[in-house]
Amino acid sequence: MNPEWLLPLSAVAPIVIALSGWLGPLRPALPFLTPVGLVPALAAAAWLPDGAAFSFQKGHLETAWLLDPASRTVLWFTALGWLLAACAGVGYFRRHPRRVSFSAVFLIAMGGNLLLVLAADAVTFYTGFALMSFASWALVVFDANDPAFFAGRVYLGLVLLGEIMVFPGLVKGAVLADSTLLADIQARWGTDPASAVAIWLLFLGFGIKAGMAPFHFWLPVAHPAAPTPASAVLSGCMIKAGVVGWIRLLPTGGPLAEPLAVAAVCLGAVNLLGGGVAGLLQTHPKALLAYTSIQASGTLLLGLALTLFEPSLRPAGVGMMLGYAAFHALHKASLFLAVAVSPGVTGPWKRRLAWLVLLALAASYAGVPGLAGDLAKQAAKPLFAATEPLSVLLPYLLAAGGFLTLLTTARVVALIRPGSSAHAPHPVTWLSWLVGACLAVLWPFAVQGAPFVVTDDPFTWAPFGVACYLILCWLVRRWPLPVAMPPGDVLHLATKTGVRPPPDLGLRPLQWEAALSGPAGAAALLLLLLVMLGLLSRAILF
Amino acid sequence: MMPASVAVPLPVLVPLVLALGALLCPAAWLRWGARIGALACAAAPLPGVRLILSHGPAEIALGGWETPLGIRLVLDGLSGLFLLFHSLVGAAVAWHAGSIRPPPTDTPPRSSRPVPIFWPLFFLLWGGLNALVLSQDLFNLYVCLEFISLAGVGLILLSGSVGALRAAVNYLLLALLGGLLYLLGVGLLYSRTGVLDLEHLAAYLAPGLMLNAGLTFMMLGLMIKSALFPLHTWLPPAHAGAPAPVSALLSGLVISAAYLVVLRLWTSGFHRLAPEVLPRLFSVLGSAGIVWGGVLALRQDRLKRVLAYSTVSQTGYLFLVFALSGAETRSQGGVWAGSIYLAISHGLAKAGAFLAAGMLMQRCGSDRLEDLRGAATAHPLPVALLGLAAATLMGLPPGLGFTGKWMLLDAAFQLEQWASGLMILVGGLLAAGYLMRVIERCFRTDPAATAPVPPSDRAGPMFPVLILVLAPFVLSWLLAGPDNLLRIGAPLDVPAWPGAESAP
Repeated sequence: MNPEWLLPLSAVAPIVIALSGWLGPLRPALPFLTPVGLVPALAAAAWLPDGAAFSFQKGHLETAWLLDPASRTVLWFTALGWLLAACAGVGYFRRHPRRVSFSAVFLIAMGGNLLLVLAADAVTFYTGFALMSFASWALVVFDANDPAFFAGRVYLGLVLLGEIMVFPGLVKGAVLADSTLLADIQARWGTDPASAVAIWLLFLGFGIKAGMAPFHFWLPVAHPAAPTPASAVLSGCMIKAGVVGWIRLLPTGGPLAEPLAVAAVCLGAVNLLGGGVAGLLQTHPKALLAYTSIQASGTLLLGLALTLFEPSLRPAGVGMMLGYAAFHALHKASLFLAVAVSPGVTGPWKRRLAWLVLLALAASYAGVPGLAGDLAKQAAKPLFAATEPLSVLLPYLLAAGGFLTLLTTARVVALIRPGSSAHAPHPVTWLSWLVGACLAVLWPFAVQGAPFVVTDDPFTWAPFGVACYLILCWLVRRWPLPVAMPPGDVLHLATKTGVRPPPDLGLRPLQWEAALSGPAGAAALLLLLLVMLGLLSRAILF
Repeated sequence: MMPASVAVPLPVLVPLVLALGALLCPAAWLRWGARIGALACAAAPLPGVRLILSHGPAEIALGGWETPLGIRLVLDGLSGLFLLFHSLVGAAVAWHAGSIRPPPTDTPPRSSRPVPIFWPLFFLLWGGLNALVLSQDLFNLYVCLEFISLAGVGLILLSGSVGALRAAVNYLLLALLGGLLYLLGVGLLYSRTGVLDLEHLAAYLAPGLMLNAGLTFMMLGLMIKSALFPLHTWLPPAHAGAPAPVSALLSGLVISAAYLVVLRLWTSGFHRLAPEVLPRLFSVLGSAGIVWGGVLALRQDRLKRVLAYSTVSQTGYLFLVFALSGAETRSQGGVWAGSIYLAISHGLAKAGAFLAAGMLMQRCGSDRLEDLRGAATAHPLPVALLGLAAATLMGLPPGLGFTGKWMLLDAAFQLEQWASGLMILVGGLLAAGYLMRVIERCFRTDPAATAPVPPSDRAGPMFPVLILVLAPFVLSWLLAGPDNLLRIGAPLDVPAWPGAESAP
């Protein structure tokens, strides 16, 4: 059997497991089978060679799959993030009456996510994108209470907005390229206004998924509402789907890339700074973590701007973006699991261990010198310095963003400090958090690959940095919150100022419809008859 | 291989014979007999399709009378595809309805006396639909259309409620009006040309007052029958008031059959009469229908009414295609194939959705959206079936609905018809809005938390519904088949709009 079969199997296996478990005799075992769904994906990431491709064509179903170095990185962190959440979910939902339904939907969303990562053509990619987005709606509303349904509506509204932006963009790209392969679409963008519109639609549509301002507000609304394992993958893995879309589809240069780059810089700055400030004013740990993800999207947007400004730096820039995405995915998944584990830890030794892991995770994410976040940052610096228009402003921007990240992570530690809740976590959830944290903190040192190479030795500063960070955490914990901001800033601002998001048409359409079925309908018929007769005879006479 | 003289009329004869048989059959045998008969009906087009796949389009002259005097039945790729589509939907609906005991009515048991008239009407409707797609003669098309409408009215009446009676009478009147308008148009055309057969007629079709007036009346009649905005108001009460299996047939098959007649006329020469005006009008009305149906579907409080207004909205898509016909698409049938795939995927998914709605209705007590609370936990399978149908109706990949939409959007972008492209997207957005609204309601918990109604025998089996809602996804893989089928006899081989050729 061809090893390339692993590519489609990676995405199909979770879906098949979900369906067979939901409908078939495996039903009681489905929660335990959730991690098994990732085996083909992990095997593909580990063993398939670069450039492994699979394609299948039957009727209108043309599907192409590809594992290149970029998709391998994405596949690794996506699969690991889902694996952590799946394992944590086994414990988290141990006694939940609807755990089978959760596992089924979780597996389907997982399949969609893996599908879009490995897809090499537009239809397969869009299939994965839609499958993941719609299945995740069920994850968001899983708790079936009013906040969950509110979050579900916000989430769904933005998903739909994203879909109707991405879909025409893809179709236009496929028309231009006369091919549905993503690589062809990316290479053959024109310079006409229609191409520009398509490119902008794709940029914004994927931006919604990635949490780009001003479409970021679904993250802090949806993440607190969803069960924690679902938040972990929403924030860790799924928002990277937008980044994959940017990297795969936006033009690699040319006149249309320039304005896009400017927009990416501006929106990136807004994400980086705004996300940090809004995050500091949160009281719910998951909302705060959602804002840190918005900040991370800002960094990724700056990376995108770099690849758009300097096509020559594109390989290095994409490597940097993917490295940062991997770093963020593992850290964020682990931090979300910390919300489920850390507050409920009991016992002196366990509590000490939880403190150690939590602080290590937060410090590593915050970019304390010598830890993983710092390695990612150091790798990005020379790239930004080499890009002409960015090198002026960016050091300040990144410094400000970094400072805000220090504060927000310290606030995370304050909000989920071990022992603050009586709800004891399940040992399996505990263990998955522990493994995830170790993986996140130590992985960059193990890889030593392109995105994490550091020039000078940062470890001399590490003890000093860690000490400062601990003091900062202590200070932030003592520091009272000046004012709390509701999660989903813009959304609440809009409702507060009287802008009602859904236009309320009242009963008028129903009344008009009733009129249309009465005499008005007869009048419409007559009018239509006259119009058609008039138009058709006009066509003859003139 | 069966000769054409048998294979072509078989899809019409088998249902008609079965309709007669169902009238005479003892009630005790009817449940199984009807289901087996439905399978026979579903198999009836297969010899014909096999024949045209190997020998090209087949036709027979009824009674040996050649045209222009007699009537032809023509089996080309388009009719073959629609016959198979009718088979799939008809068999699934029959199998589902046959398992409901007593025969399908949506009213509570007190008025659910056995209604043996369901099966004769069902087979009559099926036979009429099959005859319609095989007809190539203006008057014969009229007879089939009326046949279908009358059978439809009878089926709606099975519901037995006052609302259904009112809806059925309304439907009857408008269907008759539509039929008469069509007949008036045919009369005008016949007075001018003296032929009714589409192939012969094509030679006489050049712009002229009489012919154009005839076309206008015919198209108006067909617009009523296919519920194009603003002539759609008969549809929602009729489709929502009928028993669920009947709604499935009416929404899934009857609407697309009326549309098929429009397409048939347009592609067999009538485009020469009004090369630009009519496509534009269809685009405007189709767009208005997409929005209007979608907005009203958002405002309904009953599941079946949501689905009925969704039919109004989805019909709008089909009429966008006339202005897009110049585009080069990668599919064999061109952009026409896109609209046919949309019609077929809509028919399959909508029939499945109505059957799923019927199942939910039996289990939750009513189809009020408020009563659907908690359905996702209490009755997950019908909700999942509804969700799958919704995915097709929204145009989510990789279903046939997505393929059709992609083809139309592709054509709209090539011709730079941004308005049509936008309407296709808006329609999808609205569909997602009204369908997700229903599904969200199913996910909500029930505040009253009544004990779940035990799934009754009356709800019917899942399996046929599953086939219907999965078919659009499977068909998009097998589309090489339909593509090849559509090429047989080149039924859709028409010049690009607005490149009107000069009159002969």
